[in-house]
Parts: sequence; C-alpha cells; structure tokens
Amino acid sequence: MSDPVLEARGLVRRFGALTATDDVSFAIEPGARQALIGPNGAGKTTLINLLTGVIKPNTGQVWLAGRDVTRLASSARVRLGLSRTFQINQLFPDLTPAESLGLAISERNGSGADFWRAAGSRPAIVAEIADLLMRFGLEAEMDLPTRKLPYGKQRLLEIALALAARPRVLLLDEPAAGVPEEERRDILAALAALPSDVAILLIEHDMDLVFNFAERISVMVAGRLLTEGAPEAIAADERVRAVYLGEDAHG
Amino acid sequence: MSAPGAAATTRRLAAHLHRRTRWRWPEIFFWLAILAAIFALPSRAGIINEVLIAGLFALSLDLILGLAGIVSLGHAAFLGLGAYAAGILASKGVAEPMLGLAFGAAVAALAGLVTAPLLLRGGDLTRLMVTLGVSLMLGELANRLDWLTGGTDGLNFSIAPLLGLFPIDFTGQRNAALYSFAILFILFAIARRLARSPFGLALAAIRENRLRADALGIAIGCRLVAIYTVAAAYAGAAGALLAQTTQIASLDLFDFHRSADVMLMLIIGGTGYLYGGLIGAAAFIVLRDVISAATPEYWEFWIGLALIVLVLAGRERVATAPRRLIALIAPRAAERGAA
Repeated sequence: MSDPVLEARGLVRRFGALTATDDVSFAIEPGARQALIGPNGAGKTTLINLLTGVIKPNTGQVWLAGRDVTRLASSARVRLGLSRTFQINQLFPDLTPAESLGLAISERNGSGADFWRAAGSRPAIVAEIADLLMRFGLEAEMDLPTRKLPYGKQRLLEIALALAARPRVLLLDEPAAGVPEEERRDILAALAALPSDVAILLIEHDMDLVFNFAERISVMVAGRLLTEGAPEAIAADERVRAVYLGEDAHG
Repeated sequence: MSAPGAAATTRRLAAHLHRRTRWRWPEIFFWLAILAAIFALPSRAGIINEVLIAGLFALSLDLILGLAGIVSLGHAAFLGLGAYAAGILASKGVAEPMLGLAFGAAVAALAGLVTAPLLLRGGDLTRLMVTLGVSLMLGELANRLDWLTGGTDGLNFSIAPLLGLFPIDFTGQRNAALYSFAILFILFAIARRLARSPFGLALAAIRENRLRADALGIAIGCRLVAIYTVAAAYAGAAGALLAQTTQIASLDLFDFHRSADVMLMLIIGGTGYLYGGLIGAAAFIVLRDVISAATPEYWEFWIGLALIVLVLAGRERVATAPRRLIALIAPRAAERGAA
C-alpha cells in the first residue's frame, strides 16, 4: 500500500457546545474511489471544510501529499493538489465555461497573475480547455454565460472546474444533487470517466451512486467515523443499517 | 470525439477567447471623436480637459469597482495625493510635467498599496467606511502640513511646457487637453489589456464568486491589493493632470463630494466595461454645465433625478440603449460589438 495522499489525523472541531467532528482520522490512497456517507448532521460538511481549509480544527492535523497543511489557507491547498466541488453550484454566472476553465488552468500553471498577455493567447491552454469541454460535453455551451446553462450542464462545469486544477485529490460534494433524471446519466458518465490517478472522495446521499462508484466507503455518524470498508461489507454492516433505519438506504 | 470535431472546437474556442481583445471600430471611432472635438472646439478645450481628467478618475474607480467589485467612498484620497505630489514637486522647482505626473501616480500607488490590506476583511460597508476614513485623514493631513501644501490657501505653482515646447497652462488649454487625452488613452489601453488578461479574468472571478475563486487556488488578497494599487496610481495620475493643467492643488480635491461624484459618473456610464467612466464623466459634466446654466442653484436636483431613473430603470437597460440603437441601424456591427 502506498502512502496516503490525503490524511486526517484526529480532527476535532467544536462549535460552542457541539462537537461537529470528534477525533476523526482517515486516509485516502492515491487514485482511490472512496465515499463518505452518513445521515444529516453527521459532520460530513464540517469534515470537508476542515480538509479543504475553509475552517481550522481545534486539534488534529490534515496531511496532503506528505505535508502537514493544517495551517495552510484553502487556496494554498488547492495549489498543492486538493480540489473540490460544491453541493450548491459555485460558478461564475457572467463568465463563459471556456473563460472559467481557462482561468482555472491559468491559476494552476502559475500564469494566473499574468496581466499583460491576453487570456486565450497560449495554444497549450486553449487545447486543454478544449479537451475539458469535450470530456464533459460542454462544447456547445462553451461561449454562453454560465448562468444560461441548463442545471445539469452547470453541474458538469462544477466538476470540470475542479478537475482543471489537476488535483491529486478531488472532493465531490453531492455531485448529483438536484440534477433532473434525464441529465443524471451525464453526471454518472462524467464521474466514471474521471482520471484514474486522481483520488476521489465522494460525499453523497444517493446510495445507488455511492455503491456504483465507490470501492471503499467511510460511514460517519454523530461526528465520529463509525466504520470503513468495501461496499459489500458496509451494506452488510448491522450498525450502518441501524443508522439508516427509517431512511431509505437505496435511494 | 473525432479529430475534425476537436479541431473545430479548438477554433471556435480560440475565436471566443479572443473576441474582446481586438479593437473594434466603435472604439476607434470613440477615440477619434474625442481628438476631433479637441481640435474642432478650441474654445471648449478647458471643459474637454476637465472631462478627460474626470474620465481618467472614473476609469480608475472602474478598475476596482467594475473589475474587482471593491466599493469605495474615498477614492478622492488618491486624486488629492497625486495632485499634491505633482504640485509639491513643481513648487520645488521640478516643473517638467511628465516627471510630475509619474511622481503623482507613484505616490498615490504607494498609498494604495499601504491601505489596500485594510480592505481585505469585512464587507462592503467596512470598505466604504475605511476608504472614506482614509480620504478624510489625508485631507486633514494636507490641511495640517501647510508649510508643504499651502494649507487652506492651496498650493500654487507654475509648470514647464510639455517636452519643453508646449505650454499647458491657461495659455495652452488645447495643449492641456491633448496632454490629458494622450495620458488617458495610454492608461486606458493598459487597463483594457489588463482587463482581458488572466489577471483581469481572475478579478472577474473574485467579483462573481469569491468562494469558487478561492477554491480554484486564486490568491484573492494579492490580486485585490494589486488592482487597488494600480487604481490608486490611475487616480493619482488624474490628480496630477488636474493640478498641472490648473496650476493649483487645493484641499477640496480630498472632499467627499469628489469621491461621490466619481461614483455617480461611473454608475451613470456603467461599470465593468471601462468606457463607462469616460461616458459617465462626459454626461455628468456636460449635464452639470447645461443645467447649471439654466438653473444655477438647482442643477443637482436634475442629476439626482437622472441617477434615480438610472438605477431604478436598470443601468443595464439604460447603458445598452446606445447599443440597441446601433442594433437598429446596423444589426451586424452591434452583434460583433456585443459579442
């Protein structure tokens, strides 16, 4: 087994009297297909925010690619290879998908502060934008303002933007949330086609999606990591079933 | 995806990304029209000069408000600083205008660089108050340091002819307007280029969605400090031009109404596309002159009314009226201009 690319070590985060994450430790291997599930209020969002650096833990550490990044700002972690999507679309409504992707690529390769060169004047960047557009089926919409895209396409752009940062680890926060049935297949196809060397942590309520996608599942309950394992083991786990009792475990 | 499809996608993509970098005919016409006005209306050279300088000042505000979404109610701080820096330099015997201009811009840029970090925390209200506070402090400093600034009397100085040949004082109003025009055009071209660069795109991203901009790895603070410094330099250049072409720097340059007026001009002309400040400055000053000639005491009433109509009817709709008018006359040109 290789060294984990992303690791949480004993993360504790309290909000007043509430302990949102209570001593959470877990690791993601390079190229992993891992899912994080748990009922509402289990602390999944807090954990994501701790990993990405939006909030800082009270105690514990976050390690990214062999480096302690606990004190690093979120944008610095992105540059080290930790990228994410959002549960609610976070896009640039007036920029086009092509511009948004070009921006993400420029930021990654260090030319984002270039103030004299015209955007789109580097063939390598243009080629990479074209590649991402085609991979996510966004060619037809490339030059429309993002706000005019159908919701499913916006969801795809959300993933494409995160991938444009060429992450080692990609956190997908409910990628299929709110996507109408007829556009869901595009999302699933996009997820299946993600590069195999990128480790992926999927946070999702949709159990079909989780069990289709993940090779390993972590279950979070009440701020703690309840269990981890292969999908079959998780599906058979009595404690997990108990947690989801009353909720429809399959969708 | 087949290879021809990929090639077509790349071509379309390149065309899309380049669509705003080329100078369009309406733009070229815009600049030629100003130049023509300077030569055709020599008796109005004074007011044209005033419009050009106000336009530069409004362009400077557009860099932070229109591109990056930073609100300011104290932009006059940099106008005043630039004016006094240029004036003080001239009063100490360095009367060459270009040197004074560069010095004014540099001093303002330094002040922008130093105060920009104050704007990174908090929301719009914080920014309004911090920028207002900075301009109040600088205005009072200029008042207090009267051995340097002349205090409430203002600072009078004389300025050497431009390039040693063209007087830009009251004997050379047209030269002054041409000087301001040249500086405005150069700085505008730089701003235009900057707005279309990856840096400009990143500013748009920060303005539109800070959360995502951060998630893309954009160092938001650095970018905002950078553009604020550039904008301060632009405002300083406007102040220096104003002082040099009137041979006076006075305390009212720091006044709140200067900051408010420039905001008005920019809102009237429209933010974010860089021409808004120039158009707004022209509209504001011409309107002021026309209305105040008719009703000297109450001209601000009409400015106020115009402002309310603009923001309620939607700046977009009012600002795109000329474009829609062009669309009626020449549909294809307007389409290219809008794309």
